[in-house]
Amino acid sequence: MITRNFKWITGILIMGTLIASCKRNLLDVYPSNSLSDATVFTDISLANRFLNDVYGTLPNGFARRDQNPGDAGWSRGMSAFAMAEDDAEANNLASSTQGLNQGVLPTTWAYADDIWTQNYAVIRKANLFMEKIDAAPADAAVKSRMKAEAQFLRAFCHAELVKCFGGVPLMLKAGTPEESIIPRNTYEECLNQIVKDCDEAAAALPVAVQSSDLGRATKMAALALKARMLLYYASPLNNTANDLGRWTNAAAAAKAAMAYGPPPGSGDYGLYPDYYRLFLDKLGNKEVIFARKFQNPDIKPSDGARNKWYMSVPGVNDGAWGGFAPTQNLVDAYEMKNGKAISDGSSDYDDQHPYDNRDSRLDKSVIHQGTVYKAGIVIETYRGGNTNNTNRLDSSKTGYGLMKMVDTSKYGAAGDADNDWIFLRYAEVLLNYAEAQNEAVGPDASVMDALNQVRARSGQPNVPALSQADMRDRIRNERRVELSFEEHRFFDVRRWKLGMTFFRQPARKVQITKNPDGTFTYSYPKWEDRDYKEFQNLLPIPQSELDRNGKLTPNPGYY
Amino acid sequence: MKCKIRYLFHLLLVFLLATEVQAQNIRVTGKVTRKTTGEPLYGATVTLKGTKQSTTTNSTGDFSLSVPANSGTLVITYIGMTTQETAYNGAGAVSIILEEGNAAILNDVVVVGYGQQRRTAVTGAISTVGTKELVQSPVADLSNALQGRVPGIITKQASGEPGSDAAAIYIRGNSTFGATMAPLFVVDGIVRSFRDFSQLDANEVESVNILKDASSAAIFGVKGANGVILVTTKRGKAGRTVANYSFNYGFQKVTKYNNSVDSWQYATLLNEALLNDGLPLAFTNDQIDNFRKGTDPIVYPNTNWEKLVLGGTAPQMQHNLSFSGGTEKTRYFASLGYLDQDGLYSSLNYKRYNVRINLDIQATKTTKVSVDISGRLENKKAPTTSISGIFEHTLRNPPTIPAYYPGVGYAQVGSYVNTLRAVDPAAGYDNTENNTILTNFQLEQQIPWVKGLSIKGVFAFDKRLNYQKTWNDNVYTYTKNTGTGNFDRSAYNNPNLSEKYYQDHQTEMQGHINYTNRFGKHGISALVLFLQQERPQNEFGASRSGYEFSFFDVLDQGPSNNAGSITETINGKKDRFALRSGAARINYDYDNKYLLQASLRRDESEQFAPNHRRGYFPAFSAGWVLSKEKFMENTLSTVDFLKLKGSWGKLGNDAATDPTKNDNPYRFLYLPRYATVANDYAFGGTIVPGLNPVAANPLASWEASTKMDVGAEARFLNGLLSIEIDYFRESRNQILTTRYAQIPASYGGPLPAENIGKVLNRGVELSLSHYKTISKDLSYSVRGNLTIAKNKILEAAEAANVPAAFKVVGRPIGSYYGYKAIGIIKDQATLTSYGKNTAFPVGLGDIMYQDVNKDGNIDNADRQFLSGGAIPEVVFGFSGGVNYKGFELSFLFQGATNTHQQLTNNAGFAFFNGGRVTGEWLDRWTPDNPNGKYPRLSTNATATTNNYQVPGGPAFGQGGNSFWIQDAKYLRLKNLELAYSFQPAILQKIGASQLRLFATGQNLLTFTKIHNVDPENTNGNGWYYPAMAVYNFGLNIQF
Repeated sequence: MITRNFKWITGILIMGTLIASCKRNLLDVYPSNSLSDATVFTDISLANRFLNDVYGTLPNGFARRDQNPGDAGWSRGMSAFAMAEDDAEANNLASSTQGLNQGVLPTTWAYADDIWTQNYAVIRKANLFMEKIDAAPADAAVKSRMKAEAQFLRAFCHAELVKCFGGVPLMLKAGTPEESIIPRNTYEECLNQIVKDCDEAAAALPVAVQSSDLGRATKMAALALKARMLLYYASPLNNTANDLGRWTNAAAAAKAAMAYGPPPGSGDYGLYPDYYRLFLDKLGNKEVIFARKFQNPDIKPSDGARNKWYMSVPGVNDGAWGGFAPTQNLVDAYEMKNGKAISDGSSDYDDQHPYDNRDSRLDKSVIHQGTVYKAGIVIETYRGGNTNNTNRLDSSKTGYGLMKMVDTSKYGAAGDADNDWIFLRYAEVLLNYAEAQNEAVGPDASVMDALNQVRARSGQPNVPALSQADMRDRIRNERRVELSFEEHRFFDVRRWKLGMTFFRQPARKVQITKNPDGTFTYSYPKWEDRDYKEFQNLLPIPQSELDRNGKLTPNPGYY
Repeated sequence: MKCKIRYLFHLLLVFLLATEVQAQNIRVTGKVTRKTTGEPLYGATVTLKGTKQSTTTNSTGDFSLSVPANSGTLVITYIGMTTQETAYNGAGAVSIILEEGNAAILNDVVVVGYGQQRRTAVTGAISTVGTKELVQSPVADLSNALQGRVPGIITKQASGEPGSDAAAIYIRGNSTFGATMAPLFVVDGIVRSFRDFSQLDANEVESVNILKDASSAAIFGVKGANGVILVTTKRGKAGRTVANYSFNYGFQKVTKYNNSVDSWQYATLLNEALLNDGLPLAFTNDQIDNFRKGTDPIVYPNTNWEKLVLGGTAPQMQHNLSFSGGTEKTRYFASLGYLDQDGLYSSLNYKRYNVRINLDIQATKTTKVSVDISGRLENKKAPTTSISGIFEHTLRNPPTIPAYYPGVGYAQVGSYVNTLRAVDPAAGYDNTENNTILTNFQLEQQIPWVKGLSIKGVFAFDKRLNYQKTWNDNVYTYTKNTGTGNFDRSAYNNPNLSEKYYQDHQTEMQGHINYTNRFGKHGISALVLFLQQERPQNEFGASRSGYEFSFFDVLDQGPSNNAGSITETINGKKDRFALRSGAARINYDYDNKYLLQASLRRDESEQFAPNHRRGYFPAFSAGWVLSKEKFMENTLSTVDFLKLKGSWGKLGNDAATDPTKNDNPYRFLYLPRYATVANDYAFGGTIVPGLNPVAANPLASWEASTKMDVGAEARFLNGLLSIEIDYFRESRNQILTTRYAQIPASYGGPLPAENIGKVLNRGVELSLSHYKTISKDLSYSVRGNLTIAKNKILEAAEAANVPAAFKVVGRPIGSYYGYKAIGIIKDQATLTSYGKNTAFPVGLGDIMYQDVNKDGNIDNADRQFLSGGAIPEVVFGFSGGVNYKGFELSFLFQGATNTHQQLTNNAGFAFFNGGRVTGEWLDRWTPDNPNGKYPRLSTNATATTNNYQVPGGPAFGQGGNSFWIQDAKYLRLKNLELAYSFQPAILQKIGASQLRLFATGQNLLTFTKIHNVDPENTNGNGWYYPAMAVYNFGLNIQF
């Protein structure tokens, strides 16, 4: 009997133990990968990490999405705005940029959605930072500089939105979700806010930073952004009455930035000697004013996507897609070495030797027949040549490939290229000045000087004296060539209201036949028809945003 | 403690030393069958009267018992049957037919949450799949063996890949769009992972019970809203040691290949598409002729990529050896299983070892100890290219490119990925080892002076150790150089290696107090339960790239610097899950006629804020056994049993998942915080970390479900016909979803999930069965079941100005939305009469769309609800079998309707992404074939063309146009078995008590309209390993 009792008592004891062993703090679990709101802004180094993340969220040309709405991700970086211009063609005909260059631009266009969402994400983070940094225990000067960086980033992202959509809702504080249901501000209100943010940031930021801080916002970045946006404000699209005062302001803003250019400026900024290396070299590159920074191995364009831009080159078998194909239209825009356009009868242009004696920027931007690629591979774009196997749907559509921004030394492992995406560089400041000054006062010496500085770097002769209108065309062509594929022409043509002129021209390609005697015959047939509609000067406000915010008015022309 | 150790010794001794020494015995054999159906009874206990010698029958009802005397009496007992005594005289076979009595039926028990109940007393909705049906399906994954067997289960098998071929299970359909619909899996009373269930060896399983309604599942509280699957493993019975060996060997084969075209057809169609697009042609007529002739397979190949990668058959093999038996004091079941399943390409293989020991020790008359230990080793070998990568490119590659150059190597043409190379074992491996040990210790003590009172303590400890190693090796590819005629070799691809360890351990402790007693006509049973569970987990991984050569797949041998293309990574994570709960349940019956049950569970989950953590989940149910009423007595000759039942209860689902994070579970949703970002930005060449704000909702809570069920069970004509019918209704509230559709993106921040969504899910389940014994040798059975489950969204935080036709509210979860195709523009007259403004250019051969608002424009306002989604609303199963002498033939048909699938990418579109065209496109619109089923060909299969547009859909459905949405209803011969059991006379000669040979098949026939994807799949682009048909042979022998 004793034994039996003993056993069930044991049983009860075991049960008791089970219950008593309940952990008091069983349910207290904390994340091991995040910090609480209160912690972050009590420590300046943690606050600094938050500021890092604001930079880390910057959208950029290497990470544009080019696919169907909802089909996110895998094709990021395959295209830039350039493929929706007359300068290039998307190899992937399934891309939505391809749709755009065919004149199809639905309100569900993925780009518009991405630009809207990604820029506002940076803006909110910048606002949050500006609101919270004051509480952090740190030196006031340090905090003031950090705050100014955030303010610049807010201005930069508002500017990106304004470039695409015109007036947008200005977000100047990190409000509640409901507080974001507001109407659009006017173009003017947006511009004034951007200028104000730039001015305030410029006052608190250093002109330049030491090399370990490269990538941080500077006074120069704020000045250059202001100059760019004032130029947009003065442009025909936004300045229908052609108020010359706006051009004057734009020229003055660019001039203010040029004060930090080469002597007689302060010399903190200037043109980089080599146009090709400009996009690859980071240290000592005084031309770069503001860029999205990358760094191997961990900070690379998403999905290692840049390799998809490269031309598919034989013997370099690493899955390059040749996703990006410059057009003959662009190639024709490069002058001869002698400074004459190829359409000029006295230019010595030979359409059977089209790449001889051209502006050196052509070779540095575009891969073509005869380009000597990495390790001595000679590119053959003739029919049947090593990069033009016509049985494939993925060979270059136009007979050209991308050279600019492609680091051929890293090509063997394409995803490892870590060159930065440059948002603002000194050459643009010069061209902005030349354009604004030419409109404000005409083609004076300062206009020619600014233009010639850019041309001289690439060995092009000075421009001759021209009428204001001819100078305007010259400056426009210079922008096209100098700033190719950098997401400028997409907006430039729009703000000049020349989309109906340029973007409706058929895209042309080069067709090269190898003759039995080893010579080549070149022809330049149409690759495809293009279309454009005047209302597409502004991108559509995303349909999903119209659905969510009843106070938004759509841009005209879209349905 | 001392006594515990003594028990352990005891059981070890019993297990290791117990051998049966028999005197000069004779052997009596026999067969036990069910009277009403002639079905063999598996697991009936046969005891020599007056002794403790006994055995149990095997799955064909046969037994063999060694007895010392020449004559005596056997006592045969079986749950639910009247106990029978049969005399024997001398060795040889006896035949025993057991009969169901009303009393016997009453004692048939069914496993419920944390206990068991008499089946007749069950007031909830519970379906059972028994071991015989589970073993019958030659599938590696148990989740595929449930399909079609019982009502209330909807399954979708996403993949047939060995080791990853589980089916998603939806109990009574889909009730949420914010969380997983995966049911809760409970193995022997302990909540375990889906994989712990699905990778069980079917031979270890006694039964699978599916708890479908509130009253049966509410005892699982905050985890139970999706229904519960209870697995009971086999346990030993007192008696002779029974050894059972079963063996299966089979072949897997693709159920159906895609519609393919030959290379000359591809070239012709591509030229036509290019011509339509106004682009230069890709092939000359000579080239097309060369493709057609096929005389130069290097330059003019005809490659069927799908058959190259997936052709042929893959073997699979399964062994299981089990022992069971014991004494009144100690009983055991031990099983050892082995599965070896090959993939259709040689770099794919899955091996699994299952081991289990279940021990029951009657320590004293009132104390029972149970110890269950089971282990599982899984070893999966796969290519380094992901399944989606392999199938994306296999389905994309056109037939005009070669796969290899004979005598040279793999061909590389353009950027097309050579998937044959990708699946070559030389390209490396991705090996996964999953090692799992599950243990369960129970001690049950009857309280001697209170009749019917007992207490039970349960301690379960599970440990998982997973290890993954991926080695990416170089395999050269060759490109034919048209200039030199040589084959240029690809650059050496430096190998890389990554290794990852994961471990978790789950500790669960339960305390039960049970009380069961009868006071005259009043029956009472009650349960009080406490439990707590904890599961810490962590993982560690490292990788290196840029190996100089392929000799060492060892991390130490990789380059250790981060330079250029060489990288090394180290990463680690930790987390912990916890749950604390209490529950009580009470059952009352009056004369087994009026049945009542009530339960209440209290849960605390670490998922939510401390002050929002606690939840109470009540349930009530009642049943009325009409057949016991006096007024039914007259009908008793036809109505054997009739019960009406109803239940109501509240349950929860805390398994909400974050759609922005690969549907990982929400963690710490309540906590405002900043997530660390290890490599966020680079200033001046230095990579710096960041902090990223995370959206929080301090009020977040679980999904709340209210379920109702009414049903009836009836048996007629002495068991000839059984019917069960249930109507169910669930409203799921507080579904965690975000307000992204309502809050402008200009807000700029992430939005937290809030308890916003509401779904109503209703349906009917019906099951019918009929058995008949025609003679002693011949019997047959037929069974059918039908499930209808329809859901609709009642609240989903939609944008305010969404047009009614496009709203998700009022429509099923996962529906398709977009433009409705109304035909193809066959001629100029049709084009003129169509006359719509469209965003995209439209011409002859293009698809026409419905203009919903009749404004003459086809635009966003014309998007509308198109059809329900990929989870079927109606599923059914129909099975039957015939037994004749030793032969058995059985089949299972399974099917589904009200299910749709949107074909995308290369599964639907022609030349998508520079890819192939499939055979159904041969019937396309051309000027000569104006009534073609498909639109005109184009190489421009993009979202911004009229025929392929996929507009941005609403948050809960994919956008698209209805042309690509296909009816995915199907009917499948899921299972077919032909078996022969040898007669006892022959068995005696080999000393066996059973020998059964069988041939089984799985997915043998499929009837469906959908092409290029499997109808059971939920993925419209076809990027998955297809479902397999299996042809299997095997034997089962028992001693």
